[in-house]
Amino acid sequence: MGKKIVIDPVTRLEGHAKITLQTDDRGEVQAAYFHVTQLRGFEKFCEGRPFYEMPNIMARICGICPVSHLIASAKACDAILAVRIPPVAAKLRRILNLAQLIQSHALSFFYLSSPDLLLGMDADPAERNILGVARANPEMGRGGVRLRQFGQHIIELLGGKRIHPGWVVPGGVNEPLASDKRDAILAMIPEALATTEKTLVWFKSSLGKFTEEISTFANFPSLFLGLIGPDDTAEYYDGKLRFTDARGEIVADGLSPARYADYIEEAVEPFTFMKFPYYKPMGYPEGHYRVGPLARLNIAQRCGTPLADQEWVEFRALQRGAVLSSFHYHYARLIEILHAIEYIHVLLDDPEILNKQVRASAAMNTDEGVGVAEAPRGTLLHHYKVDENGLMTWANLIIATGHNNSAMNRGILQVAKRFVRSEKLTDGMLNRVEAVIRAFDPCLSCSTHAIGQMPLVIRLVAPDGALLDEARRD
Amino acid sequence: MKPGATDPVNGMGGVLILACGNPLRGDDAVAWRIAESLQGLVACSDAEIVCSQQLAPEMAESVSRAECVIFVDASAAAPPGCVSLVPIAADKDCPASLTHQLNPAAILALSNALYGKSPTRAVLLTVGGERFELSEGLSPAVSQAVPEAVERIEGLLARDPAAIS
Repeated sequence: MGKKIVIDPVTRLEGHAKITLQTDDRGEVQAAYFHVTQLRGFEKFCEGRPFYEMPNIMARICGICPVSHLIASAKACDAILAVRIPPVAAKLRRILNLAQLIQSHALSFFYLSSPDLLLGMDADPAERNILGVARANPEMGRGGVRLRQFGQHIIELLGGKRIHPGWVVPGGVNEPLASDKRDAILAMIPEALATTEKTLVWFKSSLGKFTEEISTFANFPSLFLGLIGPDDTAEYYDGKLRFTDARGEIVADGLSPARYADYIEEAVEPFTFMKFPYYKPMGYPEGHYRVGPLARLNIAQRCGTPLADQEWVEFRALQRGAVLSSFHYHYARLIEILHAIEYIHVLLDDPEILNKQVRASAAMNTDEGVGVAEAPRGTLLHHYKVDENGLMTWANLIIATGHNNSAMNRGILQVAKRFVRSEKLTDGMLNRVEAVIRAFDPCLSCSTHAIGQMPLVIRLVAPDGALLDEARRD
Repeated sequence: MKPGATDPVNGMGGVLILACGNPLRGDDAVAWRIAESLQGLVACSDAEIVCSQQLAPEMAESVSRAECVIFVDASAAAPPGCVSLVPIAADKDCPASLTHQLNPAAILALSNALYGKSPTRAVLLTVGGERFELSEGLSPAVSQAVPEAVERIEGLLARDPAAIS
């Protein structure tokens, strides 16, 4: 008799999820479902509020990546104002976005995933956590803490506080950068660079231990989506959207983010609140794509800073065409941290960064605006419509984690087919199923805009619906 | 340090007070309210107050540098308004699902593991809460307990052993 395995809740994620694995009569996994069971409804309750309140309201969607929502929302409001913000304001927003990427990637790599990477997927669950990492490799643990602090401290220096800073506003930012703050950030850069380079060396030397995971962690052809700069560099704040395929070939390029609805559509499935965006010309589900660190390094031809460019060349040499294994999200995350640190250095070295003209003033000039930026987990899109008084009438948010929904579901199935082999779930099986999701670093709080908890449940269920086994972690 | 501001990453000082809670979740804000009441006292001592919504691994660095750490939090289990002060020891067996938020015992253990030291004295002060739904302001029972909580912490700062009971 076939069975259904349910993992509920999934741990070391931002949010609350449940996984169901359906087995067939031979006991082999034949279907997997990643259920996101929360709904909060930001798009609905913002209706009737003034559009200029949106950056601060929407940032409350998430406590991990509020800066990403702040920036995408402010860009949507810039569009409603129909203003071109001062160049220095764009650069300051860019620094803030890169700092957010650093602190979020550091959290994902060092706090959430390094227990698997350092101690092994089959390590004692009691040790397989940040404390186990600290015991096994205190230098790596301290490096992770310092790197996260580096990103958070930049956010605090620029925005006034680390979580939910209100510094980014429609039209620019509300305060110029003071020279002492610039110097304080510059002083922290050498240590952050050294930590990241050292971690990259360690990670690359460890890849040989994960050949099975690399081959089965959401390792399949797909499209990739992200923002791209005018010279084919990875882009995080502005630019156009690009889709590439598994061979690394461009599928669609130079796409205006404001016209996203022409090429992205969202499907719904009955087992989850999280939607399934897809590339419209290819239809659903064939048009599924991935976003985030792996996608950004796949669609670009370089990062645009010296150290990261060297790493990018090595990274892309892993595979002809696009790098397809989602295990390499971890690798890509480290390269992006390196790039972000270098890029922040470049931006702060520009004397113009202290320019005091940081905000454009305007009233509402159009009734619709789209804002797009690259969040740590991928492309983030805010789309607003307002009435003649500037009150919100409609909002649509497409969140990075949502873009990866199809890939996560397929990845769970792939890894479960490889590792789940018995009627009784073992911890190693469960951890690999969880780990493939963690590779995407999903933020379920963002994708459903729901308040986050982090438990996990996996359930094993027969074809007739009978529950045969269940594993739970709180 | 002003409640609501974020924690200093390089916090130094003899006593570190970590006030944990969400000011938009009713009685969960009690730690921040206590921190506000301690501002005057802290200004003329070697104590430092950090207000945050949760305990995160990066706080281990600040904790490792303190001689004494006082964790302040609301309790959903204790009766409303009940003030409790208990010693905390490092927990070497933390749950596998530890993520970016930790409990006080885990923070102490992380401090030991990463920096080879932790405060010589660590205590957890809790105030039982009544309402934790989305709202601002404390319930009457919890609000009335704030002076007692402040007094207990003042006793600790004055190195009064009777403050822990």
